[in-house]
Amino acid sequence: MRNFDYYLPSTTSEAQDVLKKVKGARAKAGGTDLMGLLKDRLTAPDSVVSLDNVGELTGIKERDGGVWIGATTTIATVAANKTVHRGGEAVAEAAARTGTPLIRNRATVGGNLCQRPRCWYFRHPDYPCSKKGGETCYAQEGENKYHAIFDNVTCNIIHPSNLAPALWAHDAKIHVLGANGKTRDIGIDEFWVLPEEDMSKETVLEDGDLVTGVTYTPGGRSSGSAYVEVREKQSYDWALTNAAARIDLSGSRVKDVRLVISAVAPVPMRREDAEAVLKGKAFSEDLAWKAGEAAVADATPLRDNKYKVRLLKATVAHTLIAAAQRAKGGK
Amino acid sequence: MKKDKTHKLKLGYKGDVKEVEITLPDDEPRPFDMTSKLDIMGKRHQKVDAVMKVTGRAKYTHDMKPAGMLFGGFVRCPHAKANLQSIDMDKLAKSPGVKAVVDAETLRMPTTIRYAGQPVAALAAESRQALEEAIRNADVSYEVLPHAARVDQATAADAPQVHGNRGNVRAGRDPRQLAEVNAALNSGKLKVAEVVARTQVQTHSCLETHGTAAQWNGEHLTIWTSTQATFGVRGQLARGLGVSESNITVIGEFMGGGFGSKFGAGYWSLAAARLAKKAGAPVKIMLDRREDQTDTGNRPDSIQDMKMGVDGDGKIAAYSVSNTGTPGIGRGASVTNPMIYDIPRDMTASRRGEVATNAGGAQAFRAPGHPQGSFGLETVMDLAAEKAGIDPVEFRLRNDSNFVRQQQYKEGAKKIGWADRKKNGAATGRFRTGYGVAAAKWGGTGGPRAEVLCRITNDGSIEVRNGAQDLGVGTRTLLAVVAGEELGIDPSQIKTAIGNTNDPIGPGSGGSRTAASIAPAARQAAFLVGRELKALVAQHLNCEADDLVTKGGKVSSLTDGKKSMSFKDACRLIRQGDISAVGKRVRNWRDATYMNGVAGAQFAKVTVDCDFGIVKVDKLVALQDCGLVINRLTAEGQVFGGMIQGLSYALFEERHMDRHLGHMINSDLEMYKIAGPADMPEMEVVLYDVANGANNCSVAGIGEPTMIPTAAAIAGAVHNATGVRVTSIPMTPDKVLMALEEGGK
Repeated sequence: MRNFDYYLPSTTSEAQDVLKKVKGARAKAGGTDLMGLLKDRLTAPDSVVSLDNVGELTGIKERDGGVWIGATTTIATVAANKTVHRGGEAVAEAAARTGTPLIRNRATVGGNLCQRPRCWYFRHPDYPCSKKGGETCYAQEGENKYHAIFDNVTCNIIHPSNLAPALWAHDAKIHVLGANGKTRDIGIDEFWVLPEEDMSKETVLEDGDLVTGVTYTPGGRSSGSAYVEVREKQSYDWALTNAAARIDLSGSRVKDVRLVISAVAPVPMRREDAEAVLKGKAFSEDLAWKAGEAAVADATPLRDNKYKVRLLKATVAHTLIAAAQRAKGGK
Repeated sequence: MKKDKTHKLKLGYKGDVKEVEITLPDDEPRPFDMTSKLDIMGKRHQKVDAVMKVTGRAKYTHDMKPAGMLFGGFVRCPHAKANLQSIDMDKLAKSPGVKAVVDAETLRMPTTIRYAGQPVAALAAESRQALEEAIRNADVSYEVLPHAARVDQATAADAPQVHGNRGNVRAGRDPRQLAEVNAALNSGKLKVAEVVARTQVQTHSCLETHGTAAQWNGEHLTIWTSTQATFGVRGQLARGLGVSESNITVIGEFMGGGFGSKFGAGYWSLAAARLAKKAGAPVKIMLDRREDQTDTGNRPDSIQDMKMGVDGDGKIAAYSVSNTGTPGIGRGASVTNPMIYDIPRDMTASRRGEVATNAGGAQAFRAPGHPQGSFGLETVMDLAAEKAGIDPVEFRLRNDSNFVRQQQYKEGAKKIGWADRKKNGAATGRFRTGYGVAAAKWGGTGGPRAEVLCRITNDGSIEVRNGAQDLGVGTRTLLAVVAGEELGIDPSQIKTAIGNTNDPIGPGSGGSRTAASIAPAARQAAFLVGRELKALVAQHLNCEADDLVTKGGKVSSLTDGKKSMSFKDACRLIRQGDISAVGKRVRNWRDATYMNGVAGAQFAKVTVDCDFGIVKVDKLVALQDCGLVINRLTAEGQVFGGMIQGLSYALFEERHMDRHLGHMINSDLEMYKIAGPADMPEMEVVLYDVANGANNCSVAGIGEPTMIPTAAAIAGAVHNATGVRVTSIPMTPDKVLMALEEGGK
């Protein structure tokens, strides 16, 4: 790891000042991703700005019909929070399935959304892959068991955040403080950047931008949400596939539905074709499996990850079934 | 003058008793057998160093920081096959903070690169940062050559050659009985099962990576190293550095896992010693996780092509197996298959081959050859049983004549709930439950050389010393337990010292030999000092020394209850300081033993999530013999460890080699996946106390056999649950789902 200057501001504006003034400064919240990036030399900033003492970015509050979560709120806090459990079940479940207890106690919501991909070629110091400015995506023809089955032509990373699909299922907005000192809200559906658009980053954030929090819309009565993740190990592992869904029922009829899948493409994906299978119809398990079918219809798996198609179909079906169960009152 | 003494012993296990007579010199204690009434040995004892370990007072090589210590490391080649053309050693030496450099030639490291990550130079710097900067900025040029890092690349037509022009594939030779075996298998008279089983490359993944700190004091070298063979390291360093063994002290008081990968001094120890000499300061080299995963050994993979024929009595009548594995650039990828079962030798045709690849070389790994062999053999066993319409436990009872395992199959079946087992594939729905069984066999009754010093002092204190290490055996505790048994003193009251070559010699921890090698020496040492103490007490109490026993903290007469004194008071009779003796491990009495190895069996109960392809192990039961048990708590701990590593091998662990640049692409502990707490099943251990008579404690090792059958038992349970056989480990969701799809489930 290269030496760097370390800043410990106590307010958001102080943090922003350093980020603006010191060239190449990197913000650090829990540091669970940044430390790995530093150690593997994927980034070597001159300065690191810790947000540990910036209290105003921490907390969970009900606000204007939404639930605000501060950027430096830990994943463990989200997983245990009663407000989140009531109406934001998918968010609570996604938080609870993240990392290990140690990581959840340290890692934050903002960091979780902004973390870099886990692709083993990207993380290995000896591979000059396209994500790092090289010319080759080694996963394309190489060892791609854990890689993307959608949007996987130029770069085969999968999105690592558990919270992203869950927050998207709840129509979240991401609050950003820009380098110009102005705040802006970005809809979570517009937050992600595909490798084809910009290989150097995974979100629309610009240099000097600081995520301050996120607000999601909790489900009301007759609404339920769920997050399901499949992974090889039950302790400390990354998702092979995951999905989050929110279903609003009117009687047994599906009034509205959001289905977001992840760990299968460079960015989380809302699956409107699959939603359409359910919309306006009486919910049934059979229909959930049909939606699963629709969710994988345009998958383009690689040599070693064909299993992910079958897996994703089942993941989607079980997510929808769990969400519908909750909407019916079986929370 | 030594006199001989004849002992009558009862050896064996419940219901299978062998009476033997053995004549031993009278400075050997009477061997423990089925009639021995043990007060301390075989009970549960907390590790004497447990508190040190959990409070961080136990210092590992990673913790060592002699004054003025430098940080050592390596420049490594990023190509899987190349020739080193040049390296600018001057520039390296002048890098900021660098204090010493050593080139490949001095370290006797090849300049022909055969695997990605091979070291080409060593250096020491005043900080970790300075070291990393110097390595990053090193000027090295290579002639890069095409590689064959993967087995599929190495076996392709026109494959790049790993070793000169020798060819990558060394095919097994056909045995002479092949034609006969094939004729039987094709005769139509036997029920024949046929399968190709595959196992993966597993890395040792020791929690403490490999590494060494070296410090010279004039001509004397002190080495702190994470090792499973203190004396082996001393010998290798002496040869490698041209220094006499008396000028080297190797210290390894605590170490964080070895599993077979820490026998040797390693090039890092030689480099640390050379750098320390050159820099005139202590140097520590601890490999980082990527280096450790890539370059310190692994368990070779295997492809096992098998056919097994079963006759009308449900007996195995013919068996053909062809094994190949890759040791990378190393040697030795043999698979132990067949084993355990009564397969007629003249009707067994086995072939062994190897495939060289441009990948880190294999090393010994917990029961080398056996877990992979077990997975293959038990796979074909289960399929043969299915073909013959015989229950898997019954099939093993018919084909395994070992008395102890016969009991283990029966008891294990009860413990796992085998009676609830449905026919293969009869379970329906998303979650399906199944049961599996597999067996184990191992040697591990120990032998020379091991010498243990026991000393009692006139203040009543007892000390036991041996220079070998603790690989996880619980070496300190076992020394204290055995000496405590012999002297009638609680183990917590006994001081122990291990892991320093200035103390008497002990074995490398391999072949499950540590306990079985040093425990008998410790017992003999305690026996000898006890005998001297008894002579003093006999004089004092006016009785015969042969009439005295050391038991319950006292030295007492067997015949006269009034003649007794506390052990502490007895020690006061020692006039000058202390009494000490060295117990020397003698050879095993092989012809007088009940069994020269151990028997084991394991059972698994699993639930398979057929939508997600996830195997959840619900319960494991291990039935394991390790001779007479020294410490029930740590012996069980060994079995838990074996089962956990076996489960991890069955479901998660796998080295992935990249086909492009030839690196191990998951050289970390994130994507190299190891079972964690949430993956743990309920585990039950049943120890079989077999008086094997192999040595004076009737002790055998337990470290290795307990990992052998776990993966196979889990695979059998998955088969029973789903009705399809997953023939390759790890049994990850991709393979489980594919097997279900192919099986139409």
